[in-house]
Amino acid sequence: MSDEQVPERDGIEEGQLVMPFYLICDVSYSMVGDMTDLNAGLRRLHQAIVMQPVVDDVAQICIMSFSDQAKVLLPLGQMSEAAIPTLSVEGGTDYGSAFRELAQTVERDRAALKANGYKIYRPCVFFLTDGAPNDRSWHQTFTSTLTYDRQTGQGMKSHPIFVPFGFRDAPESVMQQLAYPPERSKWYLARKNNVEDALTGMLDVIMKTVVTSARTARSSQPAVTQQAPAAGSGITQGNSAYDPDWVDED
Amino acid sequence: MDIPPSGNALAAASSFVIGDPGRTARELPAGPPVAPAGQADVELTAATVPGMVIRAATVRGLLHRCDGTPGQDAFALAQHAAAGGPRRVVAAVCDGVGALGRSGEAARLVSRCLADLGAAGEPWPDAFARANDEVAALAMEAMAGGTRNANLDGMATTAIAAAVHRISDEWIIAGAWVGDSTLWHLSVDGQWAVLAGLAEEDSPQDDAEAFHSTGVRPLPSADGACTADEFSVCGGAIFMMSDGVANPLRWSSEVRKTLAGWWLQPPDPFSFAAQVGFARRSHIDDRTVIGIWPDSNDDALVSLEGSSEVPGDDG
Repeated sequence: MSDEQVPERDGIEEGQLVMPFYLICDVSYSMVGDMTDLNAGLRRLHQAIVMQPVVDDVAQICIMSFSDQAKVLLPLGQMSEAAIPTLSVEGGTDYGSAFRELAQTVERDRAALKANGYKIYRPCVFFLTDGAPNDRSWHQTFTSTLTYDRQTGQGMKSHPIFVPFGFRDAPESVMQQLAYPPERSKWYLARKNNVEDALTGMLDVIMKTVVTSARTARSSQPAVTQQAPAAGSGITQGNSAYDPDWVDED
Repeated sequence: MDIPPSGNALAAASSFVIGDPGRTARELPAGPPVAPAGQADVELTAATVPGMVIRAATVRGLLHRCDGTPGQDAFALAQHAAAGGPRRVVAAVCDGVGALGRSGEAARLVSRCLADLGAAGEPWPDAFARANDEVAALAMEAMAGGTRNANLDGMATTAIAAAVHRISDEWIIAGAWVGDSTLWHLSVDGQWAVLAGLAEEDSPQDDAEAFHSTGVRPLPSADGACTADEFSVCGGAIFMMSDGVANPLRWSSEVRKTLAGWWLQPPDPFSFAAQVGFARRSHIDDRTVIGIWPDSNDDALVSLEGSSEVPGDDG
């Protein structure tokens, strides 16, 4: 290609800008009828990113699942270099396990990228769930693992922007608490009976958010730009009501 | 994933590459002509002032090419010569704020205004204040006559300006800046040192202090205030640049080494412009660099030492 090409060293591009996105999907029993749609949506997301080199060069995606436990299915990386995993149904709906695994994964990835000289934008987590948490201490776990108190210096200083997507039985009050930080995140909720449409609409919002954000990842531009749901999608978007002292009275 | 091989004739990126060019540089076609019509993707200038050789280039970033929008960086060159004093290069680099659709106009206006005022001997703080007034008026006019949507018709720009001359082997620089465009010295042994313009961008704004963030304070501002300072360095060459080049230069030893190799001596102007636009993955912003080298054929002319009025002297 070049008149004068300087070779890279061992695949490490010091100073490369990276915008990390984490997609963590609920694979609890209640999702048993939705896995085909979910997996098809993930493949569309993959294709949309790969089709746009300017997005693929900056965005790195990690795909995780959670039920009784959470796990990384696709480690953080460039979409054009990755094969999308197929998700399958597992157990219950333990939010706490998702939050703990997320916090560890985000921090581990941040440390690895920084160690190699990459310049990282604040990560964005898309949390996709169809139900209420089974674990009663989910809010406490969320606050202790994925939020940061500037006044006390307690919590996760390198917290991601956490964007919850709920459908079917996911309570609005829970989604409101998970949009973090409050000034930078919004929650999304689908109340359509047709779960296929809900999943399609939500993954469309996620895809547009990734694409739009990665295209603006340069100087003097904001990083993550959350997109509004399509008109008529049946998905609502709302402002965060996160309160570290909130108590679930249900 | 079927990625075209390197050497894609339809790709619009520079043929100069440092490290991984990224898929954007390899695959992105040139795209349609920009609207409004008339602005070139690349502008370059070569100049000589007694004792100095100057190259300047601005290259439309690949992200603007992807979006079909014009580049938003600009530069301007002039000279200042008071009676009995040395001839000075007056140079300005501006980087339009990408979030606002007409920032390229702000960058062109401010760069030309600063160069003209610098050439007239206006102290930099006064020159920045006047440039601020002019760009504020243009911004108001654009919003009033346009869509009133800042994303489309808003404008703002960073700016760095300098008056540069030589005394023997020493560079004397009177500079001023707003925002994150920067002034650099490249020593004769190939070491880069930033002299001015980094403070704002380097300040932690995303509270992890661990993540990259991109806030700057551009013009127009309430008062057009700038930071002004004078610098003196020996040997080598002087560079002013927008962050499209300064960021990879700051962050990568590979880029520092490569650009030092290319720019220890003044390249021909066309090669210089292509080098300014070097391809490197994820660095797809507009690129602007002004390089000033000693003219070894003309050293007799730089032994003059004067005390004439110079931009920044009163600042």
